[in-house]
Amino acid sequence: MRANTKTFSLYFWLVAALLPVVLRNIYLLHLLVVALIYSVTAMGLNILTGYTGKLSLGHAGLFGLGAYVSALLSLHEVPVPVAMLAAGIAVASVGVLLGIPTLKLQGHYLSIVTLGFSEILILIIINWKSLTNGPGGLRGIPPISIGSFSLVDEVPQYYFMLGLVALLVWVKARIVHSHVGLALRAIMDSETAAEAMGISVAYYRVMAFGISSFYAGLGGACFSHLLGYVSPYSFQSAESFGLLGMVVVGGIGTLYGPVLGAVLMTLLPEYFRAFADFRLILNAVVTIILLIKAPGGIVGTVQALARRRQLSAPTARGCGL
Amino acid sequence: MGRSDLFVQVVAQGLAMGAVYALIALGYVMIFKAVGVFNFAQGDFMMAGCFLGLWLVSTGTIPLFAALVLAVLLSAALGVIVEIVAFHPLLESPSRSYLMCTIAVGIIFREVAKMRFGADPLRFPNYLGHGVIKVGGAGLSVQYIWITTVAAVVVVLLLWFFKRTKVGKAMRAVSEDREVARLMGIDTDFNMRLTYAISSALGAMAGVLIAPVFFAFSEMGRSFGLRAFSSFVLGGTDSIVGAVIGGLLIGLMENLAGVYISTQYKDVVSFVVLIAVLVWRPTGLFGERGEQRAG
Repeated sequence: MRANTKTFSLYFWLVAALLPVVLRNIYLLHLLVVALIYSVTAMGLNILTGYTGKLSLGHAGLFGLGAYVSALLSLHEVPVPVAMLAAGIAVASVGVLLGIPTLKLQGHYLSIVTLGFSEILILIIINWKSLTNGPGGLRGIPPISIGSFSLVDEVPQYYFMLGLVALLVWVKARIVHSHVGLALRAIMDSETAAEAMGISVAYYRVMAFGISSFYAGLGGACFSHLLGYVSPYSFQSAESFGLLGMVVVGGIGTLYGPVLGAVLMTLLPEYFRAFADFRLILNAVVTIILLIKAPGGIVGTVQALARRRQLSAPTARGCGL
Repeated sequence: MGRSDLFVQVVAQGLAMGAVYALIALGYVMIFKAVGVFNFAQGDFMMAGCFLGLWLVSTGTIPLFAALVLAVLLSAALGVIVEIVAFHPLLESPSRSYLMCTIAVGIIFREVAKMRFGADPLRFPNYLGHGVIKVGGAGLSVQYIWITTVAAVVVVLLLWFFKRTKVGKAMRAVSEDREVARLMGIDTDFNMRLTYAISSALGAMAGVLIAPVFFAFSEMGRSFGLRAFSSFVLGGTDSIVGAVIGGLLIGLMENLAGVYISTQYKDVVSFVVLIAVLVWRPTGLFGERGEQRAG
C-alpha cells in the first residue's frame, strides 16, 4: 500500500519537475503556475470538505483576503515573505472567527456563513477605495525575491510553486495521517459517536477550518506576488464553486486530488476556448456528472480500480494515493 | 410628509419584501424537511420563474395573467426535471454531494439566464398597477399591497394543503421519516418530485410578484436567496409559520435599516441576523429540532 503511494508520488513529482524542460510553451507554463496557485487553495478546501464533510462557499473570498492582505502589506514596505506569512495567519484567524458561530450546529451552516462573508468582503473591497483602490484593483505588487533574484519569469515561478505545493502536500499528509486526521474522519462519520469517544468536535472542526483558511490565504498571497495584480472580481463567490469543482474532479478527501483537479480545471477551459461563455456551466455540469457517476473523482476512481485489480491478485492490498 | 408617514410607508414596503422572502424561504423549509439539506438553487428557481414569465409575456400571444400562471407551472415542471436528473441520484450520497449539486444547478440556471437575457436588469411589465392609496399622510403603493395579499393567500392555501389533504399528509409523513413512510405504502419518489414542484413554484411566484418592482436580472436569485435563507434560519428551518414570520421580520428590519441607517449595505442586515441567530438561538424562533439524535 505504502509502496504504491510512494511510486505514484515519485512519478508525479518527476514528471512535474521535468515539464519545463520538455515544455517550451511559456503560456502553458504560466497557466500551470496559475493552476498550482489555485491548487494550494483547493488543498485547503479539501482539508475542510474532504475530511470534515463541511463545505465552504467562501474560499474564493478567503483566497482574495489573503491576496489583498499580502499585497497591501508588501506595498507598505513589509518584506514579501513576511507579508505572505502574515496573510496566511490573518486569513486563518478570520476562518476561526467564521467557524465559531456554526460550531455547535449540525448541518451545513458553515457554507452559508462563508458565502455571506465572501459577498460582504467583496462589497468592502469595492467600496473601501482609499485602502483597496476599489474596483480598479492593486497594481505593481512586488514579486517574491530570494536575495537579489526576483521571481518574475515563468520557469523560476513554476519551480517555486512546485516546491511550495510539494511542501504543502507533505504537511497535509502529516496532518491527515496524524491523530487530527483520524479525529476529523471520526467526526465526519458521526458527530455524536465521536463526541461520545471523547473527541472534542468543536475544537477539531475549528482547527480544520483554520488550517484550511491558512492554505487559502497563502494561495492568495502567491496569487498577488506572482501575478503582480489583484482585482476584487477575481474572488467573487462563483469562483468558490470553481474551487469546489477542482476538489470534486480531482478527488475529495485524497492527497493529490485537489492538485490534479486544479491543473485540469485550469487547463481544460483553455482547450475549449470556443466555449468561453460556457466556462461556468461546463464546470457545473462536469461537477454534477462526477458527483453522480464518480464521487471519488479521478484519484478516487483510479484507487478503486487499482484495489479491484489487487483483490484478484494473491496479495490483496489497497492503494492509498 | 411627516416622520410617522414615512415610517408607515417603510413598514408597508418591508412587509411586501418580507412576504417575497417568506415565499422563497418556504421552499427552503420544504426541501430541508424532505431531504435534510439546504437547496441552494432555491433562489435561482425564483429567478427562473421570473425570466420564464418575462419570456412568455414577450411572446405576446398569451394574455398576461395566463403567462404568469404558466410561468409558475413551468417552474414547477423544471423543479421536477432537475430533481429527477440531478438530485435524485444523490439522495443516498453524503450530504455534501447533494449540497454541491444544488449549488451547481443554481449556477447553470444563472449562466443560462445570463446568456439568453444578458446581464443587465430587464423591465418587467407592471401588471400590479401604479396606484397609491392614501392612509393618513402616507401613500401606500398598490404594488406592495398586492404582493403581500397574494403571498398571504398562498401561505394559507399551503397550510391547508399540508393539514387537510391526503397528499399533504403523505408529504409530512415522508418528511418525518422517508423509510417508514415507504413501508407504509407511500410513494416516496413521487412525493419528492411533488416537493420540488411546490418549492420551485413558490420561488417562481415570489419571482413574478417582485419583478414589476425590482426588474428581472440573472443575479436576483443570489441576493433574494441569501435573504430568504436568513429568514428560513430565523424561522427555525422546519416550520412554515416560522419561515413566514422570519421573512416578514427580515423584510422589515432590512427596509427600516435602509431608511434609518444606510442603504449601501442592505445585504449585510440579513447576514448579521443570520449570524446572531446561529450564535444565540440556533433553533430559530419556531424550530422544533432542538436535541440531536444519535444516527
